[in-house]
Amino acid sequence: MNGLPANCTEVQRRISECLDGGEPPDEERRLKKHLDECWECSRVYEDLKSIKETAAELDAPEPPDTLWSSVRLQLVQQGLVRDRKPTLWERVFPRGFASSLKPAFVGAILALFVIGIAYYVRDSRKDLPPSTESAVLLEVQRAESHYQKAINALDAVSQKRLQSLSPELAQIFTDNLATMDYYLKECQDAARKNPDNPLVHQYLLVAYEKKAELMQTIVNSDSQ
Amino acid sequence: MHTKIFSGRRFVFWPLALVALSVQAADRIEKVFTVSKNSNLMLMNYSGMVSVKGWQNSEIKAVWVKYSQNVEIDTESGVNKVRLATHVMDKLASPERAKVDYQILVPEDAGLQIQSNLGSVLIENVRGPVNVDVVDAPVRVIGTAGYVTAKSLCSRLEISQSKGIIQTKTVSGDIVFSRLESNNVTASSTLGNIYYEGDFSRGGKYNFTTNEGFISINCPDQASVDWEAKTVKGAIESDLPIKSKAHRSVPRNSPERQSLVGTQNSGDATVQLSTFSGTIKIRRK
Repeated sequence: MNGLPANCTEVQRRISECLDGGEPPDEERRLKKHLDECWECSRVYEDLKSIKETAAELDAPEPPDTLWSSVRLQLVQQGLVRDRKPTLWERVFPRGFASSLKPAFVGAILALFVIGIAYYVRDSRKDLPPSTESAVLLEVQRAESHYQKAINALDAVSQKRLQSLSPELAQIFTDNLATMDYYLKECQDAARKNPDNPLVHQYLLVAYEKKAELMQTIVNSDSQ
Repeated sequence: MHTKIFSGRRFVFWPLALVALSVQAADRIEKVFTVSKNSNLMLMNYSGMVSVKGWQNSEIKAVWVKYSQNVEIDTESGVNKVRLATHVMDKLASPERAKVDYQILVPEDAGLQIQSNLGSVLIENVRGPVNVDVVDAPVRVIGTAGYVTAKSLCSRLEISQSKGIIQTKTVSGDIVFSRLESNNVTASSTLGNIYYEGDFSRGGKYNFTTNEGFISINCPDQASVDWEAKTVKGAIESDLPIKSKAHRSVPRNSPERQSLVGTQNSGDATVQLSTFSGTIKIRRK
């Protein structure tokens, strides 16, 4: 059970289409009216809008040649993608093409992956009947596992980026990552002690999301 | 004694020393850009003080002081936008060697986009939209009227006497609001504290969330607020006359047991407060 009124559930499912301009004008007006009145939905709307805008504005510093291959290697090791024969795309574009992708872009993809997990979890929880609390917890655990994999992948990129910053700035980021880890651990402990408390799990997933966001900030920090 | 200074080797030393000092001294540069209505200023600084204030003229006047040859200032200007960027040659150098101070005057209706890693940022009397993004540079925003979005990694964000929609976010920095006239305020922090001092606008929406920090609200008795406060591991304290909502009473074993849902006066503004492990204090001003 997600605790949202049926109308909110429907609105939150349509927000993404609304942002992409895929809703008819009448429907869009109806959604916006609801957003004016509903804090929960307007927050989801603002989050998605901000993610969309941020993704569109990302700039593109030069990556090291090995970046994409190391990210891919980690994704393969974590079972997120499989090694396979070259696709038509890969045959058309030379091998060096992938390594010319920018780290900010890689970060953005990973960030979108993380965000995708968040909305996947939300949607999964909406579809479950009220009696399946344990199924919800299972979904939360799966989401946690995906977040951890995404964070591990972002870690390699952000660590590389930290090396290109002044030691003072790198230290600030490192300190904040450490405090974020401390908070994350606190949420993990609380979730372990209160396995049936959805609010605690919600904070835990938010903690993962915030850590991924901080790593994304680090990846984009060397723009000047 | 007096003549000795200018004699012999010293006579050669002093001019050289003065030349050397002038190389080390700060470079002050002033530029004026004529702009149209609703212009935009984009400033990207690495380290140093940034001050941007609104004025009556249709010009952007920028004065910057750079303290090292390790930095160059890139400028770009159009009819309705000016972009200033500190370009740091050796990014691994200390912040002192990347320091540039900016003092900028902009038309009051201008929009701002400011980025800075270290130093400080002050924004005053601007009516256009303001977007500030810093790493470790305390930010003060005073007397704005447009949409304000402020983001900081670990430094304090302080916003006062402002009217438009306000959205703030930090990881470990505190967020401080005082005497706002805005009716839509959002604050989100992971480890920082959130302070709000002043009344809430009729029909306004306020949402403050911190994970590890505390939330402190100081508002007058006559504030008309619909309160919803919740914490997982913290506590909620209030000395204001808040009437609990009977239909939202929290069951004994509810995860939201540390929550306060109630109305003060006629409940015209909606205030939502949430923290994982911090305390929420709602106090009489």
